[in-house]
Amino acid sequence: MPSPSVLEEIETMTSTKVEKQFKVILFNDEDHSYDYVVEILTKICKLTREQSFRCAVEVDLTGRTIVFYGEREKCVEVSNQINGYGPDYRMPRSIHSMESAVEAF
Amino acid sequence: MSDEFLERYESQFLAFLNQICSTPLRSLEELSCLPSRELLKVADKVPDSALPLFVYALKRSPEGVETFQKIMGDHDDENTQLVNSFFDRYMEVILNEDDPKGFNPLIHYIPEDSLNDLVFLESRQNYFCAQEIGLIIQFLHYHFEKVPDFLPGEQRLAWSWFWNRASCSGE
Repeated sequence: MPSPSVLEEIETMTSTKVEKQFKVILFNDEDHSYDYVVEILTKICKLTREQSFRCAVEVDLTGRTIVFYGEREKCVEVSNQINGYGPDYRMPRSIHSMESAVEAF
Repeated sequence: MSDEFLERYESQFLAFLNQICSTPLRSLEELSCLPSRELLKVADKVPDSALPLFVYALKRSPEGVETFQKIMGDHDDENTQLVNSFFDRYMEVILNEDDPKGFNPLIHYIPEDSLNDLVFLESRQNYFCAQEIGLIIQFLHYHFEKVPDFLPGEQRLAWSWFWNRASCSGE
């Protein structure tokens, strides 16, 4: 199980408590930079730069991190945006988006 | 950071860690075995420039989840300051603040002098087609005139147009 610490911070930052029905998991790979992770999480998941960076460290160390949770439909939308974001221009070998998936809690 | 890089500096980094760590370490793997607070105190003494090496050493731990919980302070409020300090410093070292707005990776990674090298261009096909159509159109305008207005999803069509133009100009 991923550490709940980053998630707890995310929940603290949101004014309303989100019902944890589904979650979006971001998976690690070696073709994307920390900058890329922070970029997609701030843009798509609306996390702060600091929260995004902690998620980036978590995915780097553990292989996965929870980046969003909520209703299934919204989670699918967020996951699709991550999976279709495009490659990391900072790394020439990067030709795909990072992978994410929706899982039930 | 590559494995070779860490291997090259492993003994020096281990010696350095043993100077600042109260618990003797026989290998870098043992770093992640330290209790959370001690691990964070060690991190606090590691210079900014060596923090990527410190984290890379932590990545050697087979217990990645446990290690991450430790650098998150193991939910102990007393560790909050050390946790925040670690992440603030590491973030400043790792992230690039100067990502240029409007940076076009195709213009950067497929430079003008490569347009006659069809073997190179062909190797870039997947990379080209993975970009947003707006970036592709900008790239095409950068090098060619009378570029069609490709729509989102028409990356392959844009590649064909680019390939034809590059092939023709090379003849």
